[in-house]
This record gives sequence, structure tokens and C-alpha cells, in this order.
Amino acid sequence: MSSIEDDEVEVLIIGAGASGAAVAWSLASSGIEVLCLEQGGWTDPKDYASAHDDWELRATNISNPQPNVRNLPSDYPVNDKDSPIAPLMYNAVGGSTIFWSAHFPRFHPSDFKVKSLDGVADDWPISYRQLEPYFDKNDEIMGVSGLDGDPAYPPKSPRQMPPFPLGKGGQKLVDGFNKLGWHWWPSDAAINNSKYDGRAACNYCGPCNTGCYLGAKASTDITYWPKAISLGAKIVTNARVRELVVGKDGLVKGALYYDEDGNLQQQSAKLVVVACNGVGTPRLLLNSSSSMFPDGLANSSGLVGKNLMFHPYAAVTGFFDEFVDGYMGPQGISIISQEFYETDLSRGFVRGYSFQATAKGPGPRGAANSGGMTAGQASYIAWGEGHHDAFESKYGRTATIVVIGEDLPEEINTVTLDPELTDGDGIPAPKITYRMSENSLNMMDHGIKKAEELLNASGAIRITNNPLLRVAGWHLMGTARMGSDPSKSVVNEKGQAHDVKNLFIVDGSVFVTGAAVNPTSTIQAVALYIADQIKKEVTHL
Amino acid sequence: MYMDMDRGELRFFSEAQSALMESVLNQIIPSDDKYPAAGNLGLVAYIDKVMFDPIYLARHDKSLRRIFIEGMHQIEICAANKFQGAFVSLVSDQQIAVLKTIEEELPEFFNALITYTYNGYYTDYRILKICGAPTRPPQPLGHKLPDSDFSSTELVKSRGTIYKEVD
Repeated sequence: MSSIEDDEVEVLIIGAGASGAAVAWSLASSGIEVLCLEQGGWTDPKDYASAHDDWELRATNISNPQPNVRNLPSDYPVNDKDSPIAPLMYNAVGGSTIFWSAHFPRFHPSDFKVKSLDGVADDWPISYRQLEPYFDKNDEIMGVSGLDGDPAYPPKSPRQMPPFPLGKGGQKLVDGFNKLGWHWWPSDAAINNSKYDGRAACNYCGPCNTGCYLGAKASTDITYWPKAISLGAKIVTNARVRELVVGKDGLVKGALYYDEDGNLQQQSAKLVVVACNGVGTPRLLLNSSSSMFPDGLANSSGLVGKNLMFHPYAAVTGFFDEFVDGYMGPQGISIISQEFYETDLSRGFVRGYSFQATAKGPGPRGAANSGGMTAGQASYIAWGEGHHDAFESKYGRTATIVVIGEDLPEEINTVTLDPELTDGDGIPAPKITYRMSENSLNMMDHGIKKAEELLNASGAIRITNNPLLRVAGWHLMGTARMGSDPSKSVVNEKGQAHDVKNLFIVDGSVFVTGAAVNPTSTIQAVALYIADQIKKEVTHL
Repeated sequence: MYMDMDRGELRFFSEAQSALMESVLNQIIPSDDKYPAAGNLGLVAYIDKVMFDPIYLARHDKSLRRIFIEGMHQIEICAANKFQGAFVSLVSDQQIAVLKTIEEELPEFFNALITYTYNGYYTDYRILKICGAPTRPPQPLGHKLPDSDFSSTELVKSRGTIYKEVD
């Protein structure tokens, strides 16, 4: 073993994605020694699909968001046969922010208090107001393009850059929203709309979800990590953690991991932070069982791996009788609407949903083969007679409204260890068991009807919908939930495991509820908040 | 790219299979006054390449070669049963009838056939040019979008806040 692996570090972080990077930077900026183990490596923007002639084909394969399709050495398989939604992720320095859309809304004050407001799920033990300074700091480091003054939120700190242009499709949707008198606002995007913090401005190329060649999109390998490393944080790449090791005193002592050559290594630490996402974190905890923790580490509540939340997505596509700037501009960014966000029981469900109006269509291959939004499923335009008319009416002429619904936590939706499937190092793979609740189904039905109403008001000449996107499981939440009662939660209000006081969890696993917006802004704000709690704790260890 | 490849370089399809596939592809995407048919465009060579190329062949489609061999076999059996002839010898309506039967009875093959035909056709620069798509990758040049007018957000603001205050 090399000297770095033999030396005990103050804080060991598992996972270099959205949350791990934020925690590494925060701790390193307070002079705390940080080492991160990451199962992937550094990515090279030259390898991203968008600069290659065959970019649309690469997106179906080596640049696919599904680890089971991509199947790179850094990926682990996920048994998702018992789930209508396939979990998506990327394993590298930067984690899933490498392939994300960078849509960057915050959770709302109400999202932390759904039990008090609506009598469902649980309240978080922390509030929007507590997180607000961390949201602001995170926005500053990631860099946010947007427009101040959104009436769906309390006033936020000034956005760093102006909002992205809407394109013709976006403008048509705005006209529809205004005609109906519904809320809409230009989306907050963690993408540079002008040069920011030494990174380039977006040139509206389109496919953000295969990696940003320019570095205009804020993935944490180019935002937090360079800052953290300059402050002394270290990363060991291609280091796949098998389990966390616990001492006789019940404290975690460090991690066992496989290095690039498949050799088992050990890294000791005074305090361990788990940041492996809502699937990877419960997988690691469940695989870290011992005589002291026979049901998995930090699992005396039995809730590790339970309450898995995705966001159910439906896509409603409007066809227009003219070219509407189709494939131009950031793929997932245009307009957000929260007209139907808060509970109104007369709609037949509790809580609500957002519209993410992407207003962006796919490239030619995606238009013919899947509409882009449903990549990986058998969904293609007609063959034979009528094929060319079908293509011409679709390519560059569509705008899509995505309905993103709040998925309430249920213990039957789980991440467990698969009894047979393993990754390349023999570590058990995660198995997903998930089904949509009646509430979610009613919510999505309502959202589809309202999206159709909007597209009609926007001048669409034809409308189609996909009621549940399978390849849309980006948001992995709830599987190591936060709470003040150790029998009903895995970590406390500081992100500290109830059972193991030098173990902290900082990713979407700790979410008590999932809200109805993309979670990364909130994941990172929570991670920065927990990092400040760790700073108080680490001095006692 | 595959367009440079002549028939002699096919690795997967035999001469007879190549002729069959060309006829099949000409029915999947036929010609009109603007676009060429997929078979005439030379997409048999593309699909041949897919069978072996790690970029083009999705990693979960390792059984693609077996699926195509079985699919081509069933097309000929169906053509013989329905119309007592080889597929390439049938008239257009008969070929379409055969393919509709195959679509129903061999969905795995048919999905793969459509997927890879469309993948090849709509990434061929000759087709991109015809449909008005850029004949270059999105980077490094990107695209141009004019600035937007956000003044109607004032209307949205005028309706007041819609978030719930808690705490």
C-alpha cells in the first residue's frame, strides 16, 4: 500500500458527485484534511458526444444515462426489472452532474413541511430558512442563469447571469401560459449564459445530457473540485468502495475499496461522509453489515434502502406547423411553471407538480427513433408509406412539457442488495423495487390534461403524450432519511447517523420528501449545511 | 464512414442476405420526391458495420447478429408461405404485407431493424442535408439563438406570490 492509503485522514468522503464535491470544498476551506474515494475517473470533454460526427448515436450507447446500457468499467449494474422507472447516474469525478441537464430550481419552504401543511409523509427537521444561506453559496459556486423575482419563491439572492433565451417554441409556450393566466418563469439553470468564474459561456449546442464540451454547464469536476483541490483536498479515482469498517467501539474506522487493478485497499479516517446517491448509499450501508450491525450499517431503524423516491415524469409533446428552433439551446432548460404545485384536494390528489417546459426537440435521429425524451424505448415514427411526412411534421417542430410530480415516501419502494447480480469487483448490485402510488397516478393524469390544455393554448396542431417516462430516474432520494426520532429515520438533523456518530450522509438519500422539482440545488445546499455540522463535530473526534 | 464501404467489404451479410436487406430497407424507408429510400442509400453496409462496431452496437444488444439471422430467415419463410416466392421477387404490396406480419410476430427483430435503420439513415449527412439539419456535430460551433423578451413576466408577478409561507 502507498503511504496515502496507510495514513488515517480526518475526513473520508465516498463519492465525488454533486454532494461529495460540495462537502469536500466546504471542509477543505476550513482547513480540514479531506480525502475522497471515487469509483470513476476524471472525464475528458473531448470524449463527450457533442463534438463527434456520430453524437446522436453515442447518446444511445457510451453516452447513455443508464449504467446498464453504458456498462463502463466505472459503472455498477442495477437490477431495475421491478421498477417502471430506470435509475440513471454517472460514475466519475463530478458524478451525475457530468450528464445532468443542470435545471436548478430550489425546493420551496412548503416542501420541508408537508406533514404540517397536508398531513402526509413527514416534516423535515430542518427548514428552507435554515438552508437559505447554503442555497445562496451553492448558487455562487455553481453559477446560475435566471431571472430574479419569481413569485413562486421567496426572494432569492440575485442570479449570477441572465436567463437563457426561450427560442420560438418557448415563446409559443409563454403565449399559452399568459393566455391561460398560469404561472411561468424562465428556469434557473446551472449553466453559464455568459462567462463566469473562468468558465466559458454556453453556445446553445443542445445536448447537455451527454456532457458539456465547453465547460459552460456546472458539473462539480469543474466547479467545486478545482477549488477543493487547491485548498488541499485529495481524490483517489477508480477506487470502488466495498464496505465501511467498524471498530469495537461502534465507530466507523474507514473503508475497504478495490483500486484500479482490483486490489483490495484500506483507507482509515476519523470521520466518514457517504455521498453515493440514493441508490449507491443504501447499497454501501447494507453491504457494510457486521456482528455489531447485522442488518447493515446505521440501520437499527430498518429504514436504510426504504422510502425510495424518484420523480415520476410524463412528457406531453406539441407539434407546431412551423420550425420552432427545435434542437437549439440547453436541452432541459427553458420555462418552469408551478401553477399546480401546492395542494388543492379538489384535483383528486395531495401535493402537486411542476411543468418543466423544455421547448427543445431532439436531433433528426431522435425525432425519428424515439422523440428523444423516451430514449431506450421502442418508440418510433411510422415506417413505410407516410414515413417522410411523419418525420417532416416532427423534426424541429415540437415543444415538450414535462410533468414532474411529487413522489411521496413509501416503505415498499426500496433499494436492496441483489442476491445474484454483482459489479466487476464482485460487490452485490442494488435491486430496485418500486411502484407508483394512486396519488402519483392521479397527479400525473391531471398534469397531462393541463399540459394538453397549455399546448392547445400555445397553438399546437397535434399533441401526444407519454404518461410515464422509463428512462427518467435521475432523482434518487429518501433511502437514508433524516429525522429526530432514531426509530423513524437513519440520520439526525445534522446528517449524522443515529447509530454511528462519526458517520454522516450528505446525498439525496437523506431527503424526507422529494418535492416536485429537480433536487440537485437542494442536495448541494443540504450537503453544505451538513458540512458545517461536521466542522463542529470533527473537533470532538 | 460506412458510405465509403462497397459490398465486397460486408462482414456479416452474405450476397443473398444483402439483396434481401436492401429490399427490406427500401420498404422501411421508401423514397419520395425529396428523400431516397434507405436500401438505395446503402444502409445495408451501415447495419453490417453495426454488428461489430462497439460505438454503434448498443452494449445490451449483443445478440443482434442472432436476432437478424433469425429475422431474415422468417421473412423468407413468410414470403414463401404467403406468396410462394422470394421476398425480393415480390411486388411492393406483397413485401409490405410480409413485413407487417413480421412486425407482429417478431417484435424484437422488427424493433432492432427499425432502430438501426433509422439510426443510420438520420445520421447520414446526405439525409441531414436534405432535411435541413446541420451537417456537423453540435460542438464546437454551437447554434445561435436571439435574445428573448421577458417583459411579460410582469404579468405573472402582478398576480402576486404563489408560494406558501411556513415557519
